[in-house]
Amino acid sequence: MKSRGWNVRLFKREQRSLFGEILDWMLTPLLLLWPVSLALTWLVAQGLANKPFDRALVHNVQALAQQVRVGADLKAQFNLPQPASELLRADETDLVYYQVKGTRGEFLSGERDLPEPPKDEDRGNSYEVRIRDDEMRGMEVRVAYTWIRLDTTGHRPALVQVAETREKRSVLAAEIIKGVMLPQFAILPLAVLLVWLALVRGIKPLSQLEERIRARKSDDLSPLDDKAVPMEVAPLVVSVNALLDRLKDSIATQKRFLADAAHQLKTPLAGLRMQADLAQRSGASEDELKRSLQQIGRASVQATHTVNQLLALARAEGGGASLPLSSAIW
Amino acid sequence: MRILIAEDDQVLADGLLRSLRNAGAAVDHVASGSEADAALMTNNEFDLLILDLGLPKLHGLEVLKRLRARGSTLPVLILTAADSVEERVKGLDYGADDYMAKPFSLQELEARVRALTRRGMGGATSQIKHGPLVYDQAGRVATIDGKMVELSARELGLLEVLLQRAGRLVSKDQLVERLCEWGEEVSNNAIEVYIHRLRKKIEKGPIRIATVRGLGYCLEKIPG
Repeated sequence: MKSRGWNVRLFKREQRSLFGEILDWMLTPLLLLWPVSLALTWLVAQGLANKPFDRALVHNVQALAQQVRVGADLKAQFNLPQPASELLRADETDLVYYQVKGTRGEFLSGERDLPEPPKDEDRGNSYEVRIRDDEMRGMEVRVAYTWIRLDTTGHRPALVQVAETREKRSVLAAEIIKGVMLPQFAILPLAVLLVWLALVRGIKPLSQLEERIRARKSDDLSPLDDKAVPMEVAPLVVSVNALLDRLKDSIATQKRFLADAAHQLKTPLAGLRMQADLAQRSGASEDELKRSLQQIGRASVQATHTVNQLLALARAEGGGASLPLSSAIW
Repeated sequence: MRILIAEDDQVLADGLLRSLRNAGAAVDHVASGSEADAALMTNNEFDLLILDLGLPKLHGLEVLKRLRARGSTLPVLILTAADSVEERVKGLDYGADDYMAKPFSLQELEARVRALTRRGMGGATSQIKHGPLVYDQAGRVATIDGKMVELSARELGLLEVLLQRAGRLVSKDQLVERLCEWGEEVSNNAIEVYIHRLRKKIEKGPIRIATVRGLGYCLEKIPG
């Protein structure tokens, strides 16, 4: 088999193997698809892992957003009641940060270094919570944020953000990936084995066919049963049967030719025998003997001529004669 | 004895002609089926037909079929290269009396010819009896009461014809036909001479060659 680049060569044979080729062509794509599926799984797992924690994050933003009010000085004000504050900070695994900015972009509360949302992004409706991934203090964070339009002396809406590190999310994502991928390590070899067994079983009709053919007698040219083989092999069987048919005809023609040839030689042989018998009669005169010998010579020449013509015919027809011999020779 | 051979192979025909002539028969030869058919239609004086099946122009079986269709009971011996049961059965059913497959031995052929012609002479074996006269078909020897009678070839031929039609009239013309091949000439006078000689040799005891003026001769046995 010629090399197909970096594809796994599972069988090394001198002769083309359908089994090997089918196996290769089935398993190679499988093995190509597997890393793709790994990548996809990873992506999906990330997305899935975000969902439960995002909800909590969204709630937190919404809760904080409620605390943003317009003050008497027509500026945004933010008051964080203590329990809420606690809630924000209470997490074993991840760090939580928040940030509130006023309508003039002034920092009101929380962490100053929490990055703002991208400048050219559409701010959406008031109180509409959005989520993005961002980076803060060298850590990856998940940020939920919302813009609040207030009736104030500002040029932009107020901004409320809550950010969380991704530890929990990563752990969950990893769990998901493990849970999905690990079984595949067991299933993949099993799949290969099953494919192998299926192929063996699938090819069985071919070896059955081979047995049937092998069991035939050497002169059996009857057609193979094309009902007893699978649909895919049937055309092969049909064309083999056509070949057998042609072979039968060819052999029949050859047999006829041989029979005709033997037939054609019988008459000169009869003449030879007759003349020899005659010559051996007691009391045969010299003239009669001479004559017999002459006739014997003549018959031999005739027979030789016939044989040569037969040989020429045989050569010309490639072993079979389609001409009726009698018309060809006489 | 007059025999017609229908055989297209020259060598075989030559052998048949010579051997049968050696045995004293008047033998004629045709090399095609159409010639055979013509010869059989015009000439009724053959005692035997040796017929090769593989004849050109008209197949041997067809010749046979036409012969029998004319009501002829002429004995027919078939020769052929094909030797299958079907062929044999076909030939015999078409009206052949015997069948030989080529190649064959001369001895066997001659024996079969004798067998086919002796019935006509009233013989069941190759020794044909007519009263005290015994004619050995194979050896071509006639004996009367055990004593050999010296007969020339023509006389033997005559005797055979008369034996074949023992008790019946044979005309001079018929005798000529039976004795001569095509192209041979035997005058009626010659016949008379041969009859005369034959009479002298075999008219012993009850055996007679009767003459019916204008009609012909008849080989008889006088009772008592």
